[in-house]
Amino acid sequence: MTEINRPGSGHRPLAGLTVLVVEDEVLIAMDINETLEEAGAEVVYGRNLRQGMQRLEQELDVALLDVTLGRSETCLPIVEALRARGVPFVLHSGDLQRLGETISNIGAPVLEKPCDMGMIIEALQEAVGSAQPGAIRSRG
Amino acid sequence: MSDQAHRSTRDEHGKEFDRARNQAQRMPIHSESGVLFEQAMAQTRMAICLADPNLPDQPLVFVNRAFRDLTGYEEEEIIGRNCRFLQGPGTDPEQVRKLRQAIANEDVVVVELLNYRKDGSAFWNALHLGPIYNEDGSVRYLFGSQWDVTDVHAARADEKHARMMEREISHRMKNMFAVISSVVTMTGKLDDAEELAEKINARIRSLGRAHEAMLEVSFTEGPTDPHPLFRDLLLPYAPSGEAGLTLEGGAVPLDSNIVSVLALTLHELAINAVKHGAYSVPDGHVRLAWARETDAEGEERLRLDWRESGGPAPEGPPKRRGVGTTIIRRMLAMGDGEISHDWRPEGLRVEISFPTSL
Repeated sequence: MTEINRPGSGHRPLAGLTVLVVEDEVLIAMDINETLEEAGAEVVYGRNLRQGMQRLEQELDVALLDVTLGRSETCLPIVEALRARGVPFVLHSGDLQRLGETISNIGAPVLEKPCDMGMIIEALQEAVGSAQPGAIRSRG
Repeated sequence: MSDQAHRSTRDEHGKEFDRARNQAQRMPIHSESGVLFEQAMAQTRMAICLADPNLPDQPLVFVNRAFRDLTGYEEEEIIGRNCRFLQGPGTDPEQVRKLRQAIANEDVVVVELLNYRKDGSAFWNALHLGPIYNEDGSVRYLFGSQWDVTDVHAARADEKHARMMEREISHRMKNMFAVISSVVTMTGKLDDAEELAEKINARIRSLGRAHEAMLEVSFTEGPTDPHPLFRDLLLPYAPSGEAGLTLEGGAVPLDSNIVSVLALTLHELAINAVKHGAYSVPDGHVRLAWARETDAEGEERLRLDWRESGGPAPEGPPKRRGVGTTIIRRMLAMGDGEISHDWRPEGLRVEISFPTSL
């Protein structure tokens, strides 16, 4: 990742949005979270399925979900909960070959790791934009 | 010999079978051993057969129950035929040649053959074949015992495949780290940031070393001995080598997340020791101890205790927190981990803990 791909300091495309990030590699999470915060987002982070489920208690605008969590878990329970609440989400996976079917069954936008940070921001923006209008929370 | 086979219905093989029985009865074994032989053959789970080398095409003249169970054929379908009817398209001609050679030379031989049952299914047959002699020294029978080693073959194939995959993954990973390193170095040179590139590369190399050390155990589940990992990470920085490093602790769960965190954390501690601490002098020493513990919420944590000695007395907390320290602090914070520094006169002591579910 080079600086060129990062949003400029003046440009805050995610301003006003609360983003749930569920990612079990803390180094990758560190990078993603800092980038999203620089883009103006408020980041809510969970490093495993349990924490991810706990974070659902907060009001969220969009989510970025790692598909495989730990050795044996996936983000599917979080996917169901977000669907029920009409919160759009983007999947982020380095395991597309093995998870092909699981991922296509979810039917959400997919980003393949390693992924350009600019693409993550764009995908989150698009997900928010294409979500039902009622699902987008207006913020004061 | 009066194996229960003798009670089965007679068909076209019947005559040959009778002849074989008559011959078998002329075997120079007295009646008591004959009964023992019969009972042993009926009970053993080893598939046994006798072939007569003195008849045209060396037909089978006796098989036991285990042989019939193994091959799926009835006795009358077996007796009188050469045992090659068990061979099929997958049978290795080289092994068959070896078998024929041994029979001709009156040798004892063991071959592994792919054989086929009556229903067409294949099995790996470990066949042991050897001559049984008459009193006059001529060959009376060929004695064959066979064992289904299909499972052994499958296990061997799996193991071979797993080893091949491990080598392939190891090779690709080393390559990948090397390529990343080159890209960083090249970019650093062209962008006039060689010093920065070298700092980045040192961290990448630590990650690479750590993951390489863990490749051998990556296919096993559960806690693993981290000694090789810690040695690979820290020995390059110890001025006196082995004498400068003490490692104490048992097995810990080493998923790739934990390996990455450990690699970067220990790299920063070692670099710092080289610059300001124990590893800045020839006789400096680091003792790294670790243990697993359970916190108040029932979550398992890994606790590391890093103690430097033999170096210059630390000056206390640095005025400005370095990049390395910042990285590991943030990384540990993300994973609900903790780090604390204690600048003791005898040397820096650092305590780190983080959940093993990281």
